[in-house]
Amino acid sequence: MSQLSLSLQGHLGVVWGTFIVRLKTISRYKGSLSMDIFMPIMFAAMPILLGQAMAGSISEASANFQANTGLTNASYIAYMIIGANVFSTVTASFWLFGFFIRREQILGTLESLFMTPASKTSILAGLAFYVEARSAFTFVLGYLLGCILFGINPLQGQVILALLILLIGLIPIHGLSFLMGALVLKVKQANSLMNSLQWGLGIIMGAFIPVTALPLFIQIVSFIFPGFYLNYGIQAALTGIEWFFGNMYLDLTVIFIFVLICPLVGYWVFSKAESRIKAAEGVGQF
Amino acid sequence: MGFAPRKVVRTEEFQLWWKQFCSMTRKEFIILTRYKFQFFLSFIQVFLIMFLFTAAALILSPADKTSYGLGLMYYSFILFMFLSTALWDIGNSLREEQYQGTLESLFLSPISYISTLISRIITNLIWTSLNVIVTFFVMSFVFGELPIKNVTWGILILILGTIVCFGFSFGFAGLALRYKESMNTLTNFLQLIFMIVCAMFFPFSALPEVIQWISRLIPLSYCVDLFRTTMIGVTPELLPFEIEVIIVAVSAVLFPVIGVYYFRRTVQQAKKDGNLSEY
Repeated sequence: MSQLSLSLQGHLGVVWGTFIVRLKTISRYKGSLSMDIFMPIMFAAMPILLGQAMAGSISEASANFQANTGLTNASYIAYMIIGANVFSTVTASFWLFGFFIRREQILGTLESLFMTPASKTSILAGLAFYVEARSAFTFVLGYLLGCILFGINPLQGQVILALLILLIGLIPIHGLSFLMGALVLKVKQANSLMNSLQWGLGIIMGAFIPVTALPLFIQIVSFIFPGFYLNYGIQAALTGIEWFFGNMYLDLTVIFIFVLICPLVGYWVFSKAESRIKAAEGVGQF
Repeated sequence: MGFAPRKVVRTEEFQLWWKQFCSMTRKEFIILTRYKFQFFLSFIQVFLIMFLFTAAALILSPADKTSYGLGLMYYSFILFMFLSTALWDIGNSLREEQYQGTLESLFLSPISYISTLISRIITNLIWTSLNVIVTFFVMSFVFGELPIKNVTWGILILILGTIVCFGFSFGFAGLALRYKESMNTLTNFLQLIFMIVCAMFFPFSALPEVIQWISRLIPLSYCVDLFRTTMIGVTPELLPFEIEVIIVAVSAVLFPVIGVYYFRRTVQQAKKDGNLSEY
């Protein structure tokens, strides 16, 4: 039996179809979507309110933040609101991508999905578009709402550049999520692992504290994690802190290098894991 | 036909209840021990969460307030963990029985509702307590000594606060059976509300005046306030110590009674409507 192959239009149709299906599904869970917007604000509120209460005033807290982190002229409120939102989008990518296979397995649709002529790449591309759209939506609303609640101007800095960094910087995160996906195929309790791991990601990406204020071993791990550059880039674009390498183009170059490497490595590892499972027992088992 | 004296019947009833309770607790414990990886990871998770938020708060505060901030964060987090366990675990555990198709049979047997609910608490209570103890030592090692004042009162208030949380969760488990899948969003939302209104990770003084008034209407706020200020050794923020103790103690009696009552009513209604096994 000859295998059906799709034209370019067919592949684009698969990408679009996957995107729309996901969008329709999430639009039915408005509560879940609102939590994506409110949770980062709550995450940022915890250290902001406690820190302010201990410092005695906003100006004192600001002075302590600048003295302890070395980030002069930086607003700690903006830093933490942005950090919390980036943290939330990065972890959402890990959950949505990494657990895509597991979810399909549980629903009982994975085996059938892989039997269709739609290529896995097209399906994953559709999923990537969905994650990007959802992340941009929740990031913008979460950031706006957080800024309004804490009384800071959301339109300071280069907003469009920040949004572009978010959309491009999430691509390597999707790539890394494939590694998580490979782990999910092998380890049944991977959700517990991800539950714990996500908080570690918050630390190494410098979501609430610049990693330069943390011990050296954490800094080393941060520098090889693309989420760190994603967060730092958005912080620099919006709050006006100095770019990590002192120059915007150098920072963007590093992000682009991760854009090239991470999806390829992640996809390769994921495909290997998947092939091994298909050969052993099929992907319908879970 | 002879009649057994009333005292003997009561003793037998208690023995039977105790036997049921032990068997159900044992079942929950066996399930817990099968997920060793999850058990181990929970310790790492709690530490990472504490580290992330504590370090961020400490970076904004002066050095002489470190101990106070550390205490406030840690002691608030203890109650938050018990609340979170209470909100998620009992309802989820009953929903799990629905998925597995065993809930209907469970409630057809002459089993006590209270032992069904309490047995689901015990293992998680032990698990959370272990997490609390381990986190205490790790946090002290990483950030410096945590303030410990009035341990006896602190433990007593923590026990009462935990009873309030679990009492609330009994009623919430009833809601879980009634509203099924929508409960996940509701639980998330409620957790968020409690985090803000009960000032779970910051002093009440950091909240706007209007929200502080709402906080005063929720008994859990007094549990949080009383426990952490007692352990840190400062005056409670909301009301004088003695009044807060009375509120917490009364809540610890009322919440379980109302919770069990609501749960029992929901189950009986579900039995009547024939939707106990539907999910």
